[in-house]
Amino acid sequence: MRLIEALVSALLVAGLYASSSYGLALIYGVMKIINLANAGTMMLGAFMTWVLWQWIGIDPVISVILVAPTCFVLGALIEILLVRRVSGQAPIVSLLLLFGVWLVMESAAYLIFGGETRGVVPAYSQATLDVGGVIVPVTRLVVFLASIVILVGLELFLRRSFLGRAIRALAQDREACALAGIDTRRVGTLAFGLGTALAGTAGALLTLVFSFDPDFGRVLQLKSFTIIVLGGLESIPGVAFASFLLALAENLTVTLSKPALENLVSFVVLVVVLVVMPGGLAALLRRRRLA
Amino acid sequence: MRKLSAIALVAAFVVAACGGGGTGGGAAGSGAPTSNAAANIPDTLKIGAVLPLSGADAKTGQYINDAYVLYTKQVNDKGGLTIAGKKVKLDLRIEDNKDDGATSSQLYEKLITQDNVDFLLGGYNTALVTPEIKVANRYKIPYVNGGGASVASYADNTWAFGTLANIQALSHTQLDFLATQQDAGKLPKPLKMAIVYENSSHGKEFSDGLKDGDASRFQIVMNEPFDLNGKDFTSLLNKVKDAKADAFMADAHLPDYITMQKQYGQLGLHHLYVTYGARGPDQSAKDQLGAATDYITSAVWFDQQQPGDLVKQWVDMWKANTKDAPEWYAASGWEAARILYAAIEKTGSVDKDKVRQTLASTTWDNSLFPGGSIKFDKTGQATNSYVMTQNLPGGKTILIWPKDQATGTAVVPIPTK
Repeated sequence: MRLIEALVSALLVAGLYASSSYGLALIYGVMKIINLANAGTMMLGAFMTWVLWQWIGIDPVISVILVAPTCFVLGALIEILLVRRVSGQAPIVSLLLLFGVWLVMESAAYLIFGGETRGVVPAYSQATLDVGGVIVPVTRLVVFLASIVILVGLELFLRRSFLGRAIRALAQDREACALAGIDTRRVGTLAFGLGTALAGTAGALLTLVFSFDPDFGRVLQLKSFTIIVLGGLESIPGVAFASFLLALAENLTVTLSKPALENLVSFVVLVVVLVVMPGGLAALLRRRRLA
Repeated sequence: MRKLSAIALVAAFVVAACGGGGTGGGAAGSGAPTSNAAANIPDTLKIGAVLPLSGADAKTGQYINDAYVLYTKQVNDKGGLTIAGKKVKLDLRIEDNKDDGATSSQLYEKLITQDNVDFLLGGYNTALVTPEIKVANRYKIPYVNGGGASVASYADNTWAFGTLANIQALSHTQLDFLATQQDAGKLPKPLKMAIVYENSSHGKEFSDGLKDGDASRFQIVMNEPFDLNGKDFTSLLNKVKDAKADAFMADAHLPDYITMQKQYGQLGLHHLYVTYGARGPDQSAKDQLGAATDYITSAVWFDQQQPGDLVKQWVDMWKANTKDAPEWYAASGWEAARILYAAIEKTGSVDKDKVRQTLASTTWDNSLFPGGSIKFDKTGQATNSYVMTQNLPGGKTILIWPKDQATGTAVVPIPTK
């Protein structure tokens, strides 16, 4: 029974992790940029949701309709006004630039909202479902289902739409795309906007589970690094699978040992994966298929 | 008319608070020695303080900030402190440490070495107050805080004084209350306790205090630390769930209390008794969590429902002058400023060592805290008893301990939803 509970809990936590990692993976996949501002965007999404909740009582899930497009525009502007100016330079430049953007976002939030811990508490926030003796928190189920919807929607978009295919093509070979007549700048901007919208969406959804302050997103961002490395850096399904593996590893470690070891697990996994299989699970699967 | 009443109330309160008599009542006592020493007294005294005005503890820091500012303003509005017969204005300088211990120490050093402050008011939370106390001792400057309760903070201390009684006493108060509930048949004996505590000396002392409980009454089935300012306590709470305890005994600062309690409810946990140490009745937690804070019990250094005219006058004054709720953070900051300023007046000198001796040797009457007076022990920490509160549905909080001050009957065990 405890194992079933651990699996269910890991699945639900995986939903949280995947939601916060999709945007990071998409932007890295297409632009080969580690978007450190991802945490800042999640925080921004959370605060936008809180404002909508406080002012007009909009549910966090519904608020995604407003948060995602706003963050898309923000991401597109960051790409056009900032990231594009340092394209072609060493990766550390964009890394530091986006780190700076994150700090600006965090400082602005402290200025506007203060450092107080905030929470969004819809009527179902304390509700649970009893599924065969396993208690399932409704809020986590909502986030998990949303992460599945995002996964499926993103995959459909990337595989079925012209723009999605252009984004995937750009991820594979930027020069070939340019030769084929794809406007790589425009597609890059859209990909960055989409990745930022995903981060904002994650922030909105995660308010159902977490309280937050302007520092929100920092810990999840560190876990997202582990997840996208484990998942293969550019693979969206890889992110989903890696989220589950990490959540399960953490859950079992905590169950069998101490809660204080939870974060240690993430970072040990990060180090091990980078050394042993730098391409992550996706590369491992590719190698197996070829063999 | 309302404004005039508020001003009159403030004036009445200041007069009441400052009329401390021989033992040391307030900042404007008239018994200060007068002598030629007045010639050595400056026209203005610089008072330095460093608080977390941004970062995770910003809300709490703001309470203490407002207490320092308001008390200092009231003293200055009356012409300042009377030191050896001379009126001395106070120049209060408050810096923001952004909730960082190293920054806090640096800012205190800056206040001392560059701004040349004469005396120090303290900061908030164990992680910050501990290094601050070391700075005060290094530079030999009297320092009075309203935000550091850990015994460890006052190790090898001579110059710092804290208005908060120690954390182990907080745990002991909770155990005393729980024992009465066991005796009334409301809680099982032994009571299985799951303890989670912030990974600091504050948290460790909370845990140690609970370990002092009578083994026939209390059984610890889980005892785990957690990192401060955590964002996700899911794993820890799942472990709590597995422990199958009767009571959930947490020690957390306000941000962690809000984060943890939100997830506690989401995970469907239920215990017969829930506490977050000194957190529970905080208005900001009620604002953020709503009914999820119902039935949480806490042991605190002050509660606005304590009996006595002094407390009532202070609460009314506080509400009239600030936008803050009259929570214990504000009262402890108020007491810190009141006692430091009263000590300077009582000493009749700005000699730092003499003021330190006055702080150490005086019983500070007219206190808002339980017992009505504060006396620092040899480590520099106050020894007042705690009061206990419980949140009830509808955003209400009642005083449940000590029995003779209770404003309602505690709801124990916590009902299932």
